[in-house]
Amino acid sequence: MENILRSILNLLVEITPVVKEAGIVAKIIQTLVDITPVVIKEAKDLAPLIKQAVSVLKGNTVTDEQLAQLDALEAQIDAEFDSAVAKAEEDDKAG
Amino acid sequence: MKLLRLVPIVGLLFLAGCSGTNPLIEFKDRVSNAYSVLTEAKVSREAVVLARTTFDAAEVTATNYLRLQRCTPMNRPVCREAKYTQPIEVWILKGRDARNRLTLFMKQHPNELGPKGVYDALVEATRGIRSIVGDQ
Repeated sequence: MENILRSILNLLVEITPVVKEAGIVAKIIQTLVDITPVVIKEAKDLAPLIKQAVSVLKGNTVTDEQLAQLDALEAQIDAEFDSAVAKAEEDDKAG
Repeated sequence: MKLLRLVPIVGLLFLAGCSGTNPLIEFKDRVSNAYSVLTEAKVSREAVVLARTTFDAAEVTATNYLRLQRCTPMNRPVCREAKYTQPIEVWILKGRDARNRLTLFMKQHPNELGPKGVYDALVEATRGIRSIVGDQ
């Protein structure tokens, strides 16, 4: 996923100055519109996990409260994945 | 020469008799502890939390990947390949199993180090997920 986003951004930086055709510009804008929510969602979803990792890396002792928060977060992450994979499988079968 | 080699041992035994503790036994215990740490290979509570967090982050990325539209010739490259659904699910289930076993162990043994084998399984699952969704 990160590779896709990086490739798209690199490509846009390279081709944008030379693109004149309105249709291609519209397509570039549409691609940006498509990827923006994905990037924002990914960043938002990962924020609490990154915070947790930074806290551990700073050498702070892991508290019972942090562990309880991690347990709750994991239950939520698992439920979200289960829902996404069920929908994807359904979609793949319909395919 | 052989006699000279025995001097430190005899000295230690003598000192042990004087102090009430046996340094030879203490030394043997220390070696034994070091050996068991090396052979049983345990991991710290902090390392376990980091491995859990890294796996969770990979699971979030996998979830977001699976939520993308299935790839068609029209919607590339922001789409998901149907062929990756099953492999992603397999790695997630393996990783969850290891993560939950580590979590349970840490709850039941709060002052002990976690088992390295289960930790490795968790790290392997994280790598497995990343090898699929990280390369897309």
